[in-house]
This record gives sequence, structure tokens and C-alpha cells, in this order.
Amino acid sequence: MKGELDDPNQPEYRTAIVQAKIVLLLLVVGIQLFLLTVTVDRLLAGETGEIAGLALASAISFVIGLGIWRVRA
Amino acid sequence: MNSEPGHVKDFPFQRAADGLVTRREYLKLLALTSFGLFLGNLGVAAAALFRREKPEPRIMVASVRDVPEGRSLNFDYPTADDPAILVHLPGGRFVAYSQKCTHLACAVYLDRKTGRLHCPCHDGFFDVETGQVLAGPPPRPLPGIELSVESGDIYALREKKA
Repeated sequence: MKGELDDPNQPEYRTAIVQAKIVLLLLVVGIQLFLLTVTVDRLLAGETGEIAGLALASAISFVIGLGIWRVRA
Repeated sequence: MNSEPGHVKDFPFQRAADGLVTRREYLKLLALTSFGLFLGNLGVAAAALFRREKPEPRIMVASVRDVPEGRSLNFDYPTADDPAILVHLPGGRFVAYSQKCTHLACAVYLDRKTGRLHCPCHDGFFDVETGQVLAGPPPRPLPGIELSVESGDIYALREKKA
């Protein structure tokens, strides 16, 4: 039936996936932006202990973002 | 008679010729932004890793008798480009801090009326005994400087680690 989302070949289904991907990727980019500002703040404060962890968190976020991007829709 | 508004004539817009961004292109752009932010974070981490430590010279700041109780003295530490402030606290103890406000690097001074360090640019206040933020926009305490008093002379030894 038209409009139902249980068939992966339905255009509505694919559109919903792409929209979900956009929302999730926006979330990932927002988190990375936050991580970058915290990292710069720590660098300016001379508190370099947490910077490696923050960079790692950014890398993990990027990998997750890449995974979201590559999901087939 | 041409009924087109003036701005359309001046700036013609061809909707059909305009390349609209598709959802998939937008997704690609987001993925690239994510990669760019990751690279930026990596760059900051690399800058932190290869950051040169500032020198920590031992310098004489002043004689004890030069700074009466409740007064302050400006000096430079560790380099001539790093203004610092020495304060003689009531009770005889000396403390010193970087003079750059942690908000936007304006010079702080000792407000003798309130007994606090004051940044006049945006009304930031710091505790003179600890350097902690008391009020205003500064996000961090003032970096402290370790002092030593020897034979009536005050020496700056090193910056205190956060």
C-alpha cells in the first residue's frame, strides 16, 4: 500500500532514511564542534592532559558519522 | 507594459538554472564537515603535543620593603611579553599572578577598595588570595606564579601548573 514504510524500495522509506541520516549527522557535527571548542579552550588554558582524549572522541565521532553517511538508503 | 518589479530586473533569478542542493549532497557536505572538524581537533592536539614549554627563569621581582601591605606591583614573568602582578596581602604573604584576564587578556589590577583583582574591560573579579574567579565573564582562574622570599627579596620561580 502506498505510503507504508515496510518496503525498502518505497521512495517514502528511502526518503525517511536519508532524513534520519541528516539528523544524525547534524548531531555528530554538533558534538564535534563542541569537542573542538573544548579542546581549544583546554589548549589556551594550558591544560593539555585531556586534549588527546578529546581528539580521540572527535575521531570516534567522525567514524560514526562516516558509518551513518555510508548506510544505504 | 512590463510588470516585473525592479529588483527582479536588476537581479534576474533563473530557478531552473539554479543548482539546488539535494539531500544526498547535503549529507556529503555534513560528512566532509565532520572530517574537517576531526582534522581541526587533530591539529589542536598536535599543537599541544609540540608546544614548547615556556622558560621558567628565576628572577628577582622586588624587595619586600618596595611593596607595602595591601599594595601591588606590576612586573613581567616569565618573558618581557608576559605582564604579571605581585600583591602584598594583609598579613604579610605575597602572591603573584599573570596580569592577563582569562576572558580577553585585559590587564587586571588590584582594586584596593574591595581587595579583589579587577578586570576593568568586562568587570571580571578574581580572589586576590587564590586567583579564582569571583564574578564576571572570565572562564578560568588567573594563572599563579610561585614566589620565594629570600633575604628581603622576592623571587619569581615558575608558573603554577593548573
